[in-house]
Amino acid sequence: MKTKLLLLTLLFALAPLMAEAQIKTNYGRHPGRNGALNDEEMKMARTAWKYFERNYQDATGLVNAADMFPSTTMWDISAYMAALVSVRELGIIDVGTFNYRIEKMFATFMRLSFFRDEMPNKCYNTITGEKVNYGNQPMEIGYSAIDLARFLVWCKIIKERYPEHSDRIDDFILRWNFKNVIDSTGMLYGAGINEKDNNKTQYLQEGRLGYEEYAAKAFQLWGFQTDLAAKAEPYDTRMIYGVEIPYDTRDPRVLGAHNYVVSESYVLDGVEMNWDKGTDRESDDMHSTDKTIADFAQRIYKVQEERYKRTGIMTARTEHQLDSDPYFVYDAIFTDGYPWNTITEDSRYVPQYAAVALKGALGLWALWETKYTDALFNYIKGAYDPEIGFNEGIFERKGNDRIKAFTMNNNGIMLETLLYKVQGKLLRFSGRDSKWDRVLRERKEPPGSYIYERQRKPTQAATTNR
Amino acid sequence: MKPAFNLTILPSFALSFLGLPLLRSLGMAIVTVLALVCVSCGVAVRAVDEGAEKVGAAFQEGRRGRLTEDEIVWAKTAWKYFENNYNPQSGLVNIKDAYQLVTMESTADYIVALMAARELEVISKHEFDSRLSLVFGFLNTMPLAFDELPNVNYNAVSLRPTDYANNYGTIGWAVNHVGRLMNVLRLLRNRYPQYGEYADRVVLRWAFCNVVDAQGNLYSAVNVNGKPEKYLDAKHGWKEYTARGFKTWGFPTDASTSIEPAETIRIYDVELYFDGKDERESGGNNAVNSMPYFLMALEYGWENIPYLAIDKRYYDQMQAVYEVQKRRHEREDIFTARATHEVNTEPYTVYDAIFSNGYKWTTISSQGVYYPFLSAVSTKAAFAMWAVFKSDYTDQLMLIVNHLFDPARGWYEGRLEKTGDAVRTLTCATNSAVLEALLFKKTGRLYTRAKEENDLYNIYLRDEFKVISRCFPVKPK
Repeated sequence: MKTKLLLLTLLFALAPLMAEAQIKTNYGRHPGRNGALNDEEMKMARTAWKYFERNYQDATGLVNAADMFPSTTMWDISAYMAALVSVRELGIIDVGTFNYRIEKMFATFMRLSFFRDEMPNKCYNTITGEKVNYGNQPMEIGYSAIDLARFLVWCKIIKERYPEHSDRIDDFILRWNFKNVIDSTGMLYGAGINEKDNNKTQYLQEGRLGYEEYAAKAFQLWGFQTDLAAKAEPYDTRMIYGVEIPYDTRDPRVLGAHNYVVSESYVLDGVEMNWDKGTDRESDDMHSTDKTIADFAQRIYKVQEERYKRTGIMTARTEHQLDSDPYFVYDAIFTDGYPWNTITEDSRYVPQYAAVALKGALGLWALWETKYTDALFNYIKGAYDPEIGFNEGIFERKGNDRIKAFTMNNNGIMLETLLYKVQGKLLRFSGRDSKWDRVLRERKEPPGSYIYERQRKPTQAATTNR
Repeated sequence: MKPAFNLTILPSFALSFLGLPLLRSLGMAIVTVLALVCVSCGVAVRAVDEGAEKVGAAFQEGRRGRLTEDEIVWAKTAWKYFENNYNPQSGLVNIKDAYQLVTMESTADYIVALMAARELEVISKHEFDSRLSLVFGFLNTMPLAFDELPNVNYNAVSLRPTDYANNYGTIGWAVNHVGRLMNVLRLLRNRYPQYGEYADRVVLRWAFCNVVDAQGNLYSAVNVNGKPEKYLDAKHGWKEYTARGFKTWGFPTDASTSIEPAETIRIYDVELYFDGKDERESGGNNAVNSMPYFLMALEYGWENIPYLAIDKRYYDQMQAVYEVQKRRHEREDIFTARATHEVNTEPYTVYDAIFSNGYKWTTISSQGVYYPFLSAVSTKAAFAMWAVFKSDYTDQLMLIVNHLFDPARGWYEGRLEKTGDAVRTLTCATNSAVLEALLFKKTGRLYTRAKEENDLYNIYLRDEFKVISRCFPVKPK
């Protein structure tokens, strides 16, 4: 590990002279900030990693999603995987530690009980590995297509980077049942329990502009057909500070799901996938092949910079946690009809919880090298507890106090964002044949997993039935 | 974020200009152009496109001429409402069919209906006089809220102040209602100077200290433990209409005839203003819909009368409100004429808006609850639009509105977008608007200039002992 890192550092130092080596290591120029981390940035990475050391549960190999709260989701587990890859690549942990932690966690995954034997449940207890609800009480509650999608992205990143973990990852994904998470038209569905109908499983279309496209591409990385979800439509735009901001037009008042426009989905899409299409295997990071999302991401950045210029309010909006009730807010650029709207899940308007979210701010910093993001970096760099990691955010309200919540998602995204500066697009394709590929080629997927079916474009007749 | 005007709607104006078929119209157009050229001389620094925009707006002459036989039937049908809902004991007309309540707004609507019925020869001058006499009698004797201004509601039979459920009690005043009545009393007293002094006395009874401040901000008041608690009221749309009502009686209105604070929303490439006060914090809603703009056009025309001038961007908005509804029909094949309207079931009143509370083409209750199935083509908005904008769109629109009535009872509220069924609610507002639109067709804008120097109102204003304590705009002797 040490030697590899040394070599990497050397390569960067000599990069201009060593075009060939650059291509080999695949760290070509990418949008935003490029280059090795400086001392301040390395310190930031080490501080963020504190969170994962402090909240690690050796019984399962999982990490608490919020400080000292022994519960996690598939989304948050993905943030842990992102953190693990980042600290390994940045030389903060050695390969042995990385392997131990991956193996431990995947051993737990192989024992994991699923929601109604279909897909991983929304939440698990990080000490017992049991299915739980959001209050960490044992029960099964459903699954989230978006959470699972993010998990698929990080499984893909790890298996492509580290072949020694490829089979164990594939084994776990081969346990999943894809029948209902994707329909025959290529839309994504989450599952829940319908208490009004004999506790039957209820499947509801999941994902709104930004997250939906990210998730659709995640499934595409594994060969699934999610064409319809991958499209930006249906959307409209709202002019905010002279920038046309795209938002999902599926009506929150009718459908219940909010159409929040936030930094996070676009940041993750940029950092992990370079705003490329899910089917893109090209290596040039200076071209994004998902042109619509790349364009939307630019607007998401621009409008936040513009708000700062016009109002002086530091702005990096995304959904985030709070340290007290209501604990979680959609702190959006636009949602449910309003620009700069901050709402709870049940649509209460809570502008007092608007904040600079650290993960959002650092994402903007990594992907856009501007004076404004320099300022954002300086604004957030001190918002940490040396024992716990980085705070969730800094409130916009008078006093600019910090959100005294510490989460895995925030610290994990900060770490992968720092790694992005060094390496660019985090998803690197090896071109290797994997167990997953072989199984599908030979039609040996587990019976009833619907993997084969969901990888095919539907026939005309099939599109009508769901 | 406040573009002053909207270039994207220019081409259609240009087309409507080129399409003017009659020599008479062309002559009028030329006169208007000349007038505008002179107006713009004084403001040569303004952008060229701004001038062009105003020329475009100036060509809106609306629908003018004698009423057809059908239109006479429409007027007579509308008047049925005022016959059926007339309370002989008091002389007032119910706000809704068989609901014995009146507001200052519904009373104003009734006065408009009276003027129209007289001039369209639906009723005789004698009937006009006898009905109007009772209205004057009421307005000049009704108990005022806190001895300042008319209460929001009155029982239509006993004429005593009532609350929202029509139980006796004082609840406060609504500045938009007061403003509507002030506008209509101005139209009435200028159109029929012989009745002027009695209209003047209505306004002279009131006290204005708490309803309008020196900057022209407008306030409503609610009854809190027997005392008025005033709050800044009136949002863009009705705010400017209300302010113009105050202005016609000499009150300062600058803060409210301005469209500020305004935000903009773009729908089908048309820029629309909406009130910039955040309704999530200030309460209520910021609905943008047809009626304030179209009433302004019916009553004051397309010219921004200099001595009654309001923010000229309001005229851009009048045009844009028409344009965006026309475009919705062109692009979505949905007939659109949006207005706040009544329904027979919960929530009874819906704000059926072009834009409100974050959403375009939304339909919400006063509590902000979304009622998409109550979206409708509003009869009153359709008639007002038809009168003010003579176009293919309003011709077509009228084809789905012109049978929405019960021959014995008057015009219905509208037609539901989602089902095509009629909204069979009957209101004073809708039947008044039908008559007002038809009166506009016959006579043009309702406002007429009158010599005001030696009328009763101005004589009072020059006598500070009579009016200063009630905050009237005192004039020098």
